[in-house]
Amino acid sequence: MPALHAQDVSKTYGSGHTAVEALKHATFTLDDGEFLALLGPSGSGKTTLLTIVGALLEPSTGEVVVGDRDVTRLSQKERTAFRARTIGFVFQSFNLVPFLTARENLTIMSSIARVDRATIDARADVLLEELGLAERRNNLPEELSGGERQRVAIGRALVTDPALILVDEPTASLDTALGTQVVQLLAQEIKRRGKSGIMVTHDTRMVEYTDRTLSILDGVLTEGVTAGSH
Amino acid sequence: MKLALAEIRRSRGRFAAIVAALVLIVFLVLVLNALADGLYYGATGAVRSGGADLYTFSADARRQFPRSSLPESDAAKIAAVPGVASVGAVGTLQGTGQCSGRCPSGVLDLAVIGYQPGQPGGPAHAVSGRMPREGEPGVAAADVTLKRKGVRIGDRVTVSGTSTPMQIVGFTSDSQYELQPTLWTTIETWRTVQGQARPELRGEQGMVQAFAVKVKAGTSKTETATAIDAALGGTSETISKGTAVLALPGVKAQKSTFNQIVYVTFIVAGIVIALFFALLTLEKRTQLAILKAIGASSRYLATGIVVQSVIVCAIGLALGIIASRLLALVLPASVPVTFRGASAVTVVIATLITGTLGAAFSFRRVTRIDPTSALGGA
Repeated sequence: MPALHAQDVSKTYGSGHTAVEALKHATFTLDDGEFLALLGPSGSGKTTLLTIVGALLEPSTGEVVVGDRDVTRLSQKERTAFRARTIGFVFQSFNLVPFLTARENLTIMSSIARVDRATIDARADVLLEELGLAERRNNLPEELSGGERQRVAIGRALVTDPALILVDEPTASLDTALGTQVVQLLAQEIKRRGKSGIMVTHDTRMVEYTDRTLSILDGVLTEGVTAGSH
Repeated sequence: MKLALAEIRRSRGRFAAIVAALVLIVFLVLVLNALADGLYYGATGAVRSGGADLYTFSADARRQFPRSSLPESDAAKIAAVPGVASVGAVGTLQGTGQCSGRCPSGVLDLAVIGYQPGQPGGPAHAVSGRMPREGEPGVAAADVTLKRKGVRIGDRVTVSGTSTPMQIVGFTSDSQYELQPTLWTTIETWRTVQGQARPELRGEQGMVQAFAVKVKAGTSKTETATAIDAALGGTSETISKGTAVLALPGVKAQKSTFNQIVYVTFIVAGIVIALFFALLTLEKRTQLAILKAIGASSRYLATGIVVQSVIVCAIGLALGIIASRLLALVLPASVPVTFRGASAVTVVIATLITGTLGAAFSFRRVTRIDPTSALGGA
């Protein structure tokens, strides 16, 4: 069973003359254990696609099946619970809770996703160790470097043991060397845990750490790295 | 919950500001309440402590003791009304007096109240010393406020313009009349003193001002009041003790003025809390969108706001109560304040309700935050 299958997914914002078709009949499959790069310039529709497969936004038409559930048929409440337990998000920039320490940013997921606290706490400690944050666990985000913050964000995405990891421009707020390191680490963690992942990026250099690349331009999805996608 | 608590712990400065605002508001409300209670208790003690269920005034008295005048013989007619357990005559006289003995010199504000010991209308017990005995001439029990002014048992107090000193035989508590210390004496002594102090009233022999009536257990007070007025042939107006208390000059107006100030202050408290959380929510838009994206429900976030509001209110209340108690310690005894536990409980409940309502104003904003805005960003 594939980790994710999107069939004919379209999204139109607005209506009438002002309608914008952000996504046009996108169809793709993400295999179990696969790490996929979604490459496209800004405004290409890659974020729209990510919000739809991430059960944040309903498509205008089409369906998205994650695992064995059609997320487009979930109620808003069900989608919230689904995101909490099945999807791990890594956002672009300052996305940690500023008043929680590195460790608390992970362990807070037990109350958000309503998962047993002891399980989350144990996983958080393992993740902090693996991500090289053991020494920084009790520091607040403002006391961490950009790379460390991004690693905490990776830890938070993994701590609920989700099946699917969605990553939004992980290198946007980092310099190239640090960005590469973070993406490498991300790829490594996803592989080690047998997760599937999709990373949205506009940086073709990051593609080499993923298994496969889809390009998107003006809402149209194509296989591989195509010209004009960066 | 965990998130909400951590936010308070780590953003202490910010929450300290709202707590400080609440402390001031709670302090203000408590002091206003204490003043209102102090005035109320000081003005109404004489009527509340009489142990009566009903007061009978003359029909044209507008429920005022000094305006009321009834023949003493009406007592028997009232006593004959079914449902009446006991009846006592009451007379009041406000004025000034002087103390002779070991007590300090100077003029004392006084209210001499004549009653029939053993009957309703006056305090049943003295807190120290004793009450006058039935028909005992020239003695009085004084309200403890006179004790604080230096009057002691054995001292003689004479109302200005009279030649009838009253020897203090005991003290009563919470029995002031119109914020004046009372001297509880027999109705006969009161009549003598009044006759000397207000010679223009001397002609009215055998008159008293009002009657305090105790109703038999299990009898309707309103029906008994109607029956009394019927028995006196429409010359009287009989009202409940509560109504008589509110009929005292200024009491009703004072009560409603203070209540309105307190209500407005609570509205201000609600607005302050509502604004605080609205601003906090506005400021945390991005953070809340991210929390929603990773699976936090609107309900989870809204609960956090309520928890924070309750904590902020609880701390504000605790400090506000402490501050008002400290004020009570330094206020001079002449300021009529009464800090009552019941008022504090009301303030606690009202503040928690107002705080929660104020915090609830941010619910819609929280619900409306779009989790998709967490992605894409820049």
